[in-house]
Amino acid sequence: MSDVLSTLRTLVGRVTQRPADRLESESRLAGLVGWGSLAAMHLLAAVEQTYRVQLDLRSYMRFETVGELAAEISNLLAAAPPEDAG
Amino acid sequence: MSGPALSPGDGLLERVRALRAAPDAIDGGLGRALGSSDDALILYEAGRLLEGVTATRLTGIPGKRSSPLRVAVAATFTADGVVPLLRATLLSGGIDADIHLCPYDRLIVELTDPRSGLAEFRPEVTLCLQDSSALLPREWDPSDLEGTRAVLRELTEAVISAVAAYAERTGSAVLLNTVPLPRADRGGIVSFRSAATLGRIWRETNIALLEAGESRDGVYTADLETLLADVSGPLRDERSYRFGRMAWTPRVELAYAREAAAFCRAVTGRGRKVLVLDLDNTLWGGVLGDDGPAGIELGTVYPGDCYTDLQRRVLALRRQGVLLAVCSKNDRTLVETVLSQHPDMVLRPDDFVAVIADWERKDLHVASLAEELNLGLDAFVFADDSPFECGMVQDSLPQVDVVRLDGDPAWHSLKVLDRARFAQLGSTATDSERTSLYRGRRERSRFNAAHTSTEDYLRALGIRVTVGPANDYTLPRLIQLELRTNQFNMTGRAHGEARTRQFAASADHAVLAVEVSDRFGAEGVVGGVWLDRGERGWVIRNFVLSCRVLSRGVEQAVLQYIADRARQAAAVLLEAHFRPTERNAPAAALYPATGFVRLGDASGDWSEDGGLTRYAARLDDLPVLTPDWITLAAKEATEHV
Repeated sequence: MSDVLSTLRTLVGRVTQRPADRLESESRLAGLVGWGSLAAMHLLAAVEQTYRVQLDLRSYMRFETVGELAAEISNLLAAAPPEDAG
Repeated sequence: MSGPALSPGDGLLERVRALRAAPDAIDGGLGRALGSSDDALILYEAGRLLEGVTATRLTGIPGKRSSPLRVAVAATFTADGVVPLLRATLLSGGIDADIHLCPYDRLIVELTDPRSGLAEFRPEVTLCLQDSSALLPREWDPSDLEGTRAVLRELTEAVISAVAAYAERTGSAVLLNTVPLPRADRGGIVSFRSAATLGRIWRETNIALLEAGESRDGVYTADLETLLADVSGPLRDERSYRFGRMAWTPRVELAYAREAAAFCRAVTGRGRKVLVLDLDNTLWGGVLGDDGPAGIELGTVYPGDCYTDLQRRVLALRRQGVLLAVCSKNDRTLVETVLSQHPDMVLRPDDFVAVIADWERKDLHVASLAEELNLGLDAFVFADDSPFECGMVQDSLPQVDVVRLDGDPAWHSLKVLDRARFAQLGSTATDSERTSLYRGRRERSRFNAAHTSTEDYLRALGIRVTVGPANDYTLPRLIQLELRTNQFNMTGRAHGEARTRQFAASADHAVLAVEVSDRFGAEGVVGGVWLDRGERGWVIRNFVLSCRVLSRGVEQAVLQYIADRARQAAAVLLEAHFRPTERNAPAAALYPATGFVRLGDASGDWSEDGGLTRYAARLDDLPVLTPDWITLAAKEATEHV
């Protein structure tokens, strides 16, 4: 499992109040208990704070699974590797 | 590529989850850890997880109140994020709260409709959060700024009058906030002249909000615009605002939540009252015993200027009623020389209620100082540069707020001056004189030791008790006193500012102020009584007395005054309410011991609400209550009774 996916599972677990190991790459965000617009905005903020990237809200809202979001983050990181990540 | 490590906040969340999972567990350091985290996203999740967890489990300190503080959040935008942040912040400060979130953008309706969800929740604290959308019309015209100004003024006045009427009607303490102008609105102005005009009329709006917080009864204002100077990042994230009308970023929400929690501390009278300070490397640089009086660092050059600055800030606290004490491992004679003679000292011996300089354990000194001043340990702040001393006081006296002043002294002042620490709603005349009041109290305790019999001692004191209707000068102090008094508080509840003012002005009620003086000086207003004045009978709804005058017969003298006045008004019965709390055992004996008969309690037909016991006495049957060592005087300057 990629590091991005592993970290993202923790972040999704935070906003939906569940352990990271109960989330898979295939887990559907909208299907998670506790998922809603507030959880979505807090996950977005957590992702952006953790990876120092900025997502387009329109594409962010189209991602259905944890894995799709992880892939997008990896793409953004590859496109512009942040100098001060970590 | 490798992902970044998770923030240390996840360790904090683990502790929160562990606490939540084990209902009997206590993590006494968790409150402090949450209080020192600035990660808004982590604190938001922590606050969600902590719903239903009591503050005692995060602080290791038994709770003070029997019921949680009722706090309502009413906002003109989506403020759901504030609620968990507020809960986490309140819990870390030891306050249990029921938090009610009103539906978004219904502020005025919620405030004015007596059947609104807000009204039915009956909050003790009402937080009214406003963003610019509530005041600035969406279609405002930069070419007609005078027109915009008129609209702003009208909307602001409408909010302020709704808030003031609500505060008066409900007795809830209300917090408004100044409103920062978002970048999008500022950016729309092309000319420098107009930008200046917009800045001015926007400030006028905020000044109106601040003026409400200065002068309206029960209404206070958090200066959010100023708080933002220390928040990193923008006021709002345009995506969250467009998507869900979230007008503040989590960091702004956190800054607000901390200010609101400080307000709740002030409302519940939990602001700290005593600051105990170390000397070497705390109030001055260097070690007095090694460097000598001429060698310690103070003055205008770094690092000495850091210590001088701390002294100035601490003096300002003293002037606002905070008591100062020195507790230092040092040579007493040297310390006294420096305090009274060093040319660069800002603080002088008279600024302290106690100067302790010896080689004994500091935790023992703090504990005995609390006893001497007759104040709870939860009123104390202890500031020291030594991690050893800090750790020792923290371990042995967990109620004490410990400030670690290790590291660069440039941070000393900011570390001590946490807004929430000494929070108060308003200042009273007594606040500025408090140091001399408490110094008198220490002298009394020495005088006490010199007299063998208590009554001899009391006679020698020459106690004078003055009772009379509250006036504009004593009302703020009485409101504060009813909130702060835990031990001698007959019902453990407070009427609040608005109701107290109504009582004072009403012919059917009365609020009495009790003042005590003796040969050591005047104690000022130390007690209050909230009364119903019926034709046949008077009812003592609440009676509070500062614990520093207990056990001297003052409480009996006050009853005497009330009985005398009730008789003069041709009443025949005097009734009195008592409700036991965790802390008011000292008050329980008064009514039974002075000839009152118990009418009924919580399970009986006579009870009005939970736990209330009613006592009554026929005024004809009451004996003389004032002890012979007390002179009782009536103060009827503003005749109401």
